[in-house]
Amino acid sequence: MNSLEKGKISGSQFMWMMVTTVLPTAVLFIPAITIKNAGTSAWLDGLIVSTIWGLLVVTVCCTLGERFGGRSLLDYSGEILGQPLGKMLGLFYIFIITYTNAIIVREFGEFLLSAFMPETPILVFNVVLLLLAASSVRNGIEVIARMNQFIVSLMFFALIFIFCLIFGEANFHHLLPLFEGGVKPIIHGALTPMGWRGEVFLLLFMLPFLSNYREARPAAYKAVLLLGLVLGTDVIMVLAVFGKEAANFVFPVHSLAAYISVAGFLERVEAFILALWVTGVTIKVAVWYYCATLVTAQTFNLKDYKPVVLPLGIIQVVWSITIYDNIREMVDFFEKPWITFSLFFEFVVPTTLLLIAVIRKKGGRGSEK
Amino acid sequence: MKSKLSLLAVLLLVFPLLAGCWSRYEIENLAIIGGMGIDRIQEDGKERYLLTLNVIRPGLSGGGTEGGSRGRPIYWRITATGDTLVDAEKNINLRSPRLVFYGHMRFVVISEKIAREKLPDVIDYLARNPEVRLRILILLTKERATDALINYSELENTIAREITEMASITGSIVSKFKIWDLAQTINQLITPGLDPVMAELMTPVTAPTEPGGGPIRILRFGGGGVIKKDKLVGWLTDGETRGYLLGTGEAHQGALPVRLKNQPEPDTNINLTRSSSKLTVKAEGNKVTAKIVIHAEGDLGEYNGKEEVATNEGVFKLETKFREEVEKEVRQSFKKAQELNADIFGLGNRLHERNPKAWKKMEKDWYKILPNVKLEIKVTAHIRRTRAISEAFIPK
Repeated sequence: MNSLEKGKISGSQFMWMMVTTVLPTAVLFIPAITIKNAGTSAWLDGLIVSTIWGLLVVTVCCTLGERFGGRSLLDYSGEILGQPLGKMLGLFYIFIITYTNAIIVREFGEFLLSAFMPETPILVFNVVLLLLAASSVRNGIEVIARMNQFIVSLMFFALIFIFCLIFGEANFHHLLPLFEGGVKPIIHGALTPMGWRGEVFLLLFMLPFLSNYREARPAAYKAVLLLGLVLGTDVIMVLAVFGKEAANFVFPVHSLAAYISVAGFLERVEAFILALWVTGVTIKVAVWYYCATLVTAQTFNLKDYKPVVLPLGIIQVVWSITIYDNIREMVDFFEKPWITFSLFFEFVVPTTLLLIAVIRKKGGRGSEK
Repeated sequence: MKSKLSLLAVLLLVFPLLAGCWSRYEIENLAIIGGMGIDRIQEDGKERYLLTLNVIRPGLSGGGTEGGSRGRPIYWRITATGDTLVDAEKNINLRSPRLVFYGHMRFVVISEKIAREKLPDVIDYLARNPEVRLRILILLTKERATDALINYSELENTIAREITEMASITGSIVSKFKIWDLAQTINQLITPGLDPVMAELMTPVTAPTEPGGGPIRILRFGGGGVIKKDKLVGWLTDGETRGYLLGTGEAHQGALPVRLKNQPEPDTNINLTRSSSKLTVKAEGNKVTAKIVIHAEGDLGEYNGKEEVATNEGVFKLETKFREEVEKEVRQSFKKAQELNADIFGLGNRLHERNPKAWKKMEKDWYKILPNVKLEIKVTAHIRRTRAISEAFIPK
């Protein structure tokens, strides 16, 4: 492992990286989906239900990683399952991470096309984004983590700016009635954000880069709680300003920013969303891209991960274009297959691994030297 | 050598980016729209949309003088017809040398016929276009919408500006109309148990206002159109609209003429300075009672009696009148709403918010229940000041 990556990051850098791994796309896509499914209770999903889920995923993944001394999943998957199955798991995660990253790249292009530049071919955005991400991946985890520290502040500034300026338009009557229809719509609405929050499972592959892997658990918990706060506020503000009509917007937060009008002159600040989006998604894609290349290098026992950066990039560009025919297919994917898909690789697989490790008495105090 | 070549290659790759954005529009190629009017007309034996746009004439809008610097009107009024609204919008380009740009559009006027038949289509068309802001104001007119898009303005540089200022500044001074923007309109249209009242724009032709000028068409707000579900079902007058605004807490300031003496003409005016309202709806079985608690404050604005008014008793008397007047206005518009069987006060919505179980039972039959809803009104009205003078001056 250490031959692949020399860089080390601190606990707080890791935390902010986890935040960026989820936040940029979630902030844009989540409100419409949850409000559509959960109605006025949608804010509970963002604030509480999916946060609990995120904490659960972090617990499982951290326990697994810590049991094997803070190594990467691929280092010990062979130990747990035996070499052939361990490598199969590697192939599985190469597929999963590359595929999900292709989806993220597509989301990026779709938003820019829908909201800002409808006439530009989507290929242009996707290629430019992946080139930038490829460059950061080649430079290693330290570069991504440091760039992220700067960009997170930009994202939070943009979000807080928007929420503050729109506060005057908020009508909290739109959050009533509470718990209409009982628990069912709340759970239904929570499924997609749960999958999103579970994206923190990537920490399985990032534990070795922490200067002290024991810092990972508290950092990841903090990241999930912070995400809950931000995404909860996000849904609350969208609901309070637009009510249920937000379910029909493709990008409610973009509409929210566009709706800002302070004293008739501070208007059209949706470019702030662009700052959040372009910078944030670049990091998000870089993190996923980085994990994909690492898993590939580990699965095939390469000495260096850099040679796989370009081929994976090309795969992701092509995939990101061909994966969906249209934007509705994409959103439909988030509402249905994505749920089982993401819950499987984020939660079921790590939990199974952990159980097998416990049953077969692999890892734990015995193997930690 | 190799590194120099690759540097050259990189530089060459950068050049295309320097040409600017991909899908850019130069401002001199844009026709900036101030407002839009949508009508339904008969053409070639079938019904079609008539789209009217007010394009701000480049170079003239800064001048500010009526008619512009070259004697041309400040607006270019352009119309086109089409089977769908987008069709009509594209047909504008049969005449326009510039690309239509909606980013600065401020208002949309919808004719009565559209509001009665095609309102959801229009709302969808507007909301779906990413250039159109959610802040645009939606107005109804009884006449043709195309007439409302006059190509001159009277006080400000553009009518778009006049209308937005009326919506944001002067509307709350008179409280006889309330202009909702696109987002608010959609919200009210999709909320169960709430029927919106959309502002009405009137376009009367007045006598000449300037020496030597002809009669001109002016724009005036007042009243509103009641939309039930997705259709216009009736109109409120100025007074009924104020009752509605008082009842829903949207009224801010206004003039309330009252009679202190027993005579047909009002002799006193109370200036409403602020008001708020709170609505509670109770459901017992199939009986629904609504209670509106209104808190209003005002000044003495006009008084021409001889009796003392600037005393404790006088003010008390005024407050009684004030209270009665507010209650009367709200009752009138509530009665009108029940006649139209439209829930403009949002009783159903309030019931839904506070008592979802009861609402679920009543939702289906809401419009059968609504005409029998009993209304209680409780007004607390205060006269706080008598403005600059106390008693009226009595000429000897």
